[in-house]
Formats: sequence, C-alpha cells, structure tokens
Amino acid sequence: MKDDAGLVAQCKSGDREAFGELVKRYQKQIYYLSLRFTGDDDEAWDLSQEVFLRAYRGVGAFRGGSTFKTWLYAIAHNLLKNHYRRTSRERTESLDERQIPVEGDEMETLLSRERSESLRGAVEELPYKQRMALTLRVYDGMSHREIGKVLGCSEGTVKVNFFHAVNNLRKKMIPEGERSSG
Amino acid sequence: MNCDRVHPLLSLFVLDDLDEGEKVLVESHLEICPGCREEVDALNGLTGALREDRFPDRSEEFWARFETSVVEGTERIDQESSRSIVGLLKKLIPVVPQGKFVPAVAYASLVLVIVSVGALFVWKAHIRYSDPLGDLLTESSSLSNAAIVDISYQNYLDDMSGSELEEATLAVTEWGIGDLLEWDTVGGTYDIFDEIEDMSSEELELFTEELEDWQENS
Repeated sequence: MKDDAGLVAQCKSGDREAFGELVKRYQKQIYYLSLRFTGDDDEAWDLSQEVFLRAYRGVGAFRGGSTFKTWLYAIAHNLLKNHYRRTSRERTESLDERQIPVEGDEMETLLSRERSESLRGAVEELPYKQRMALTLRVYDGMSHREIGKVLGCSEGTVKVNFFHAVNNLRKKMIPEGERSSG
Repeated sequence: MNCDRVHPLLSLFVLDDLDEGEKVLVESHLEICPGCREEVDALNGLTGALREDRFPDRSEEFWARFETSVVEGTERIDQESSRSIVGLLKKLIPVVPQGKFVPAVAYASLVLVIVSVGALFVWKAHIRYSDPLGDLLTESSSLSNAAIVDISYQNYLDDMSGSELEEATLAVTEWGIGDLLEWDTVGGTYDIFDEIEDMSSEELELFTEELEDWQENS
C-alpha cells in the first residue's frame, strides 16, 4: 500500500484514482470532525465533501511541508472556522440551560446519555480554538504539535487552549461547590 | 510543587501529554495531595466521557456514496478546468505539473510583459531615429515659430509608404505635439508648430484619419 506522499505525487500528475484512495483513508475522520462541529448530517456531508474538493484543487500546490493529513485537516479547520462564525449567532441555547449537575458517582453519571448530551452541548459552547484543540486531541488523537500545524499556531498555544477547554468543561459539568482544592 | 503550579498541568497529565520531568513532579505532588487526586479523578471522568461520546459509525454504503460523490466532484472540476483558458494551456503544455499552471502562466506572462516593454523601447527608439516626421520635429525644434511656418510637410508625406505613415502617426503620439496642422490645409502646407503641446487622443485620431485620407487621395 502506498503512503500518502506517494499518492499525493500521483495526484499531482493527474491521477484521480490516487486521490480517491486518499479520500478513502480520510473520509471518516473529516466527516466526523465536520459532524462534531455542525451537529447536522447534511451540513457535515457538504462541508466534508468541500474539504476534499478543495484539497483536489490545491494538491498541485501542496509542497509537502506538512503531512497530507495535517494539510487536509487545515483545510477542514478553515472551512469549519467560517461555518462556526456564520452559525455562532444562531446558537441561542445557552450553556447554563444545558447544565446538569453531577450527583453520585461522577464517572457513572458522566457516561449516562443525558450527561453525554449535556457534555456535547458544553463542548459546543467553547470558543472555536479551544473546541478544535480539544476535538483534535481527544477524538482524532493528534499531538499538540500536529494540532499547532493544523491551526497555524504554536504547540504552547494549543496546550493553553486545551487547558482552558478542559477547565471550562470542568466548571460547566461539575459545579464549584463539588470541586475540592489541594 | 504546590497546587497552584500543579493545577494547570493536570489536564495534560490525564492525557499523558506532559514531558517526563513534569510528569514526575505532578505524580510526586499527587502522592501527598488528596485534593489534586480528586481533581485528576474528575478530569479522567471528563476526558473518559468525551472519548465515549462517539457518533455511531455509518454504513459501508454510506462511505462508498461519500467517495463516489467526491470523485464526481473532482470530475466536474477537471471538466470546468479544461474549459477554461488555463485548462487549454494545460493541454497545450502537458509537461507543467497539475496545479502549477496558474503560477506557470503568471511567470510566462511576466516574462512576456518584460520582453514586450523592452521591444517597445527599442522600436520607439528606432522610430524616433528614422521617422521623417520625427526628424522634421527635431530639426524644427531649434527654429523659431516664424521660420517653421514655412516648412512644408507635404514633401515628407508624399514619399511615405503605408507603414511609414503609421510610424509617423505613432511618432506624433510619442512626441506629444499639439495641433500639428491646420485642418483646412490638409493636403497643403502643414503649419506644424503654431500650436505645440498636448494633442488629445480624439484630435490625434482625427489627425490620423485625415492624414490617411490625404495619403490615399494624393
């Protein structure tokens, strides 16, 4: 099986089948990333399709300074950022309305469906960069360095965003009174 | 290490994102701090819940449809591209790699512009030197207006071929001379330097037409 760089080289010489292979490799990741940000199947479909079509248009100019995966995610990031800006005004439901206090065994409660929905709502309320840093780290298993390349910022900035993302979720999901300090 | 310094590291600690030195420091703090241990438990619960929050996987058919749709999209892109000027160039110049046609065309255009500007300078320098009208103007520029009035341009025009006439017209443009002639004396004596300066483009056009008409009829 050819690696991404080999397939990219074939794409550059006009091999559409090679691009199809790259689509196969990354369609799930890009689609689910889009779905996580849009929360809508159709929008996720359209956005993730657009990611691949933009990649196809731009693959000739891709110089391999990063991996194809990172580059593809960077395209997705740009599209999702625009989508986030466009739809941020439409999100009327506040985080406070979604908050469900934790009772009893935290782990069990967190894993409940209701809790899961609440958690997803809390993630949706995060600022874009925190949300993206958290999503790419937790769901896509990227390192902070890789995420930095996708978002066009330093590894340190990603860590700070990730820290704030987790902290914000922690505050929303677990009320202040139930948290202990060292 | 106290809690204030450890706390910011805990979210990274639960995902094993600390370097070895930081990890050791956090672990040694956790051994003596029940509060931070509880925090780690909570964060583990949180990240565990996040990880559990997966979308149900789509069917194989769904992914096949997804891929087909992308491939169809790429076909449309190729078709649109082949209809554009750039696409035409792609066919004409197959050695340029895909996606580099626009920069290649841009570079080629830049080179073409530079060469054209250079050629224009050389050409205009030649016209200045060889054009009879230019010569006349050069010569008369050192004369007084009164002396110039008597200069007949007729003789020059009589001997001009079509291309020379064209060059003469261009030379007029280049010199930026004002009204070069009295319109009512076309075919006769040109009172060239009575009004010097800034012939408008409309006047120049009219002058050219008159000149050509005269050339044809003479």
